[in-house]
Amino acid sequence: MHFALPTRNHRSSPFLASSVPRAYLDRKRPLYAVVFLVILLLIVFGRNSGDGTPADAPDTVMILLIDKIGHPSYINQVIENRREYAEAHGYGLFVKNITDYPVGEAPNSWARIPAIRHAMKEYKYSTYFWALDQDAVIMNPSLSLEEHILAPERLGSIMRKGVPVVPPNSIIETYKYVTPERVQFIVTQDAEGLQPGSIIIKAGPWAHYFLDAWFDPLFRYYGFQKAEQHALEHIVQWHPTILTKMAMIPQKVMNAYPDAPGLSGTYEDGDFLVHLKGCAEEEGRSCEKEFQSYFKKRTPLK
Amino acid sequence: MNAGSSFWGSDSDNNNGYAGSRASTPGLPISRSHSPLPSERPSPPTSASNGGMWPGRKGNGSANIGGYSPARKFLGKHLRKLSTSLPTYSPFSPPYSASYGTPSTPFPHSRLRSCFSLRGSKLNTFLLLVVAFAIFVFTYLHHNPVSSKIRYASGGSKIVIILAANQGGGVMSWKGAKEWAVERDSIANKKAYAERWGYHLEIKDMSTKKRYAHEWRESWEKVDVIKQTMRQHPKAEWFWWMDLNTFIMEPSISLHSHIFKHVQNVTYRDINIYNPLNISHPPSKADFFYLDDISLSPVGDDKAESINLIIPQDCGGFNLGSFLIRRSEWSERLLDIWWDPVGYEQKHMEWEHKEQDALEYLYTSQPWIRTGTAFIPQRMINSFPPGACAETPDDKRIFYDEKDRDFVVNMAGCEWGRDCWGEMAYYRQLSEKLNSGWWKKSFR
Repeated sequence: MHFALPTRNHRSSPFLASSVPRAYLDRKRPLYAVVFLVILLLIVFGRNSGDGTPADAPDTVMILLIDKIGHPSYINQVIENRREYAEAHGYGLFVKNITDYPVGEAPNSWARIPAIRHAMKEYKYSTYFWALDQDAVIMNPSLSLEEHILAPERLGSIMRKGVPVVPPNSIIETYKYVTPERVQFIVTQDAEGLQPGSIIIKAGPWAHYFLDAWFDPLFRYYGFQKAEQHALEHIVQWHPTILTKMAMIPQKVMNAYPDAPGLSGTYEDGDFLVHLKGCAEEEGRSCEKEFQSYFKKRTPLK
Repeated sequence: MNAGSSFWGSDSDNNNGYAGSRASTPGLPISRSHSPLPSERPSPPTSASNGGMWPGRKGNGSANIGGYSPARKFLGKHLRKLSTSLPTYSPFSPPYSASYGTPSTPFPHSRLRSCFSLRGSKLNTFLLLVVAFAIFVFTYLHHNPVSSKIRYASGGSKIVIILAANQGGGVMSWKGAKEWAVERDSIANKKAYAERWGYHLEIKDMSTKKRYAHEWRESWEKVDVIKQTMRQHPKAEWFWWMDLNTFIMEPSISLHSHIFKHVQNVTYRDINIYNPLNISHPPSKADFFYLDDISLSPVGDDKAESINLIIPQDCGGFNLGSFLIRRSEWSERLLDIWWDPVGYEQKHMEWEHKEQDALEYLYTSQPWIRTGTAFIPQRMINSFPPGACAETPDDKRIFYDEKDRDFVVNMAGCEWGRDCWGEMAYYRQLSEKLNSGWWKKSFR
């Protein structure tokens, strides 16, 4: 009969355990304990300091830039709307005034770019940064960004590939072969072009490059008709290192308008959010009225 | 030739001494010879009576010693010559050479014994060591096609030299005899250097062609050429751009030992160390409070891995006559953003030096660029001749100094009223003078 291991007392045993005098081990035991303890401590501390990520660092951060001029009355409700969503999903919320950021002689809508970079500085352990304009209402806060947009399977299925960057027929089209894992920047398109009112950027060196290039003074002072929006379209179309990292998703997913003629971007009940684009500029519209009516209609959190 | 034989053949007399020692030991099997090409040697002697010469040594005295000249082309020949002349290396022959002048001299018994204490496996080990040393010298120190191949395989192939020929030439101006001479000298210089160290050399024609829609875009091709070269050499890591009017003065210095081995020590990240353009650095905390800490730091993250672009500065700012760029995502972005139509439209009249001015602008206005850029003291890779930078003629940081044996001279701006050909010829001769001597020529 064969055993897998010889018995401990077997003479030919290769295991030396029985041949070590017990006194020897007894003497060394305290030392073993100390070594063991030190290793354990090292592991514990090593894990804690790791890359220095604090336990409460949110994975996703929402950025809200407030322009108090013109719409002072409902601004607290906007913040409340964002806060309830952020708290429900454990996101960070980064709220700043639009005037906090020096943009030089350029229109102050450019401020969204340094604001995103600032949020990346403040939340340096977070991955995704979602900048949403203040004239938007999150209507269905039960949808999380991960499930609704960011999960690779989801993103892969909603990305619009081979679509002209500027409708209806610009020569440059969104990249066909980009995989959701490599996407660094998520944006939507309305009838006029890329729409920076609701964008998601992944933190990292690419984001620094993209934001710095977008914010370049030569673009800021060039006098693009729609300021940073046209500058965005410009760099996306001229620089493949940006185009290949961009995912364009359907407008409805994170940038639905109350009324977007001809496109499937019109808000319907159950959609994630509504963006009251143009409510301040267009005649016959009132940002506050529209906001209040949508704010009341929003799905309450359970 | 002379150089080689004076080194390798210095003790040709001793061959006899060693051969003699072999002769009186008929018991030692002939097959111990380490010739790798046994078929090429003469038929082995069957007895000690035929002079006991080392096999293959017959008639090859010191003549084959020339095989070490760098001019030899074939590996096979090299190795055969190497092994057949190995006994010249025997360090234990000199003491005996005087007493055993000829192979037939009989040995005193006791001495014989001490001599053959190295018999058998010990002798083998010793011979192996000698061969190993010879191979080491031959492949790593000596400069020949084989060692070039080895250097190429062991990392040299990661470096590409891009030489810009015909800058501004083509349809705008014809080359005269002097321009041809400059081009010939410059190309020969880079070619020899690249071959010596196993680097790639890409000679790129920068002549003006009606290639771009906007006439000003012409001669803005530096960026396109670098991108193209990166595509051509997908495995290379560093790309060294050199203008045509440059000359490598010290070809025995490799880029690895000169720069890459200690890239952190020979470069500086904080432009304030030498800042002719007065670029405010780091970005002021008051205006750029929104930037991350690395972008606000004067030295970036200060890690060697984050260095993607190494540029020298002259009295007028960045100098792209001789600079290094590493293949990386960072440099891919830089090469992409470097030329932008909106920037170009606004600035092309102002940016006289095209890419160079554009890069200065990008460095100033886009913080991400600073985190990947390092500067190198100009005289490390881009020394100027006295004519350039005439505004600051006494600046020790700028001009070539023969005593310090600067690595590269860049005759920047010689086409504007100076004599490119004369300068090139002067520096070529100076380099030849400084690097004369057989050791310098054959060994690194």
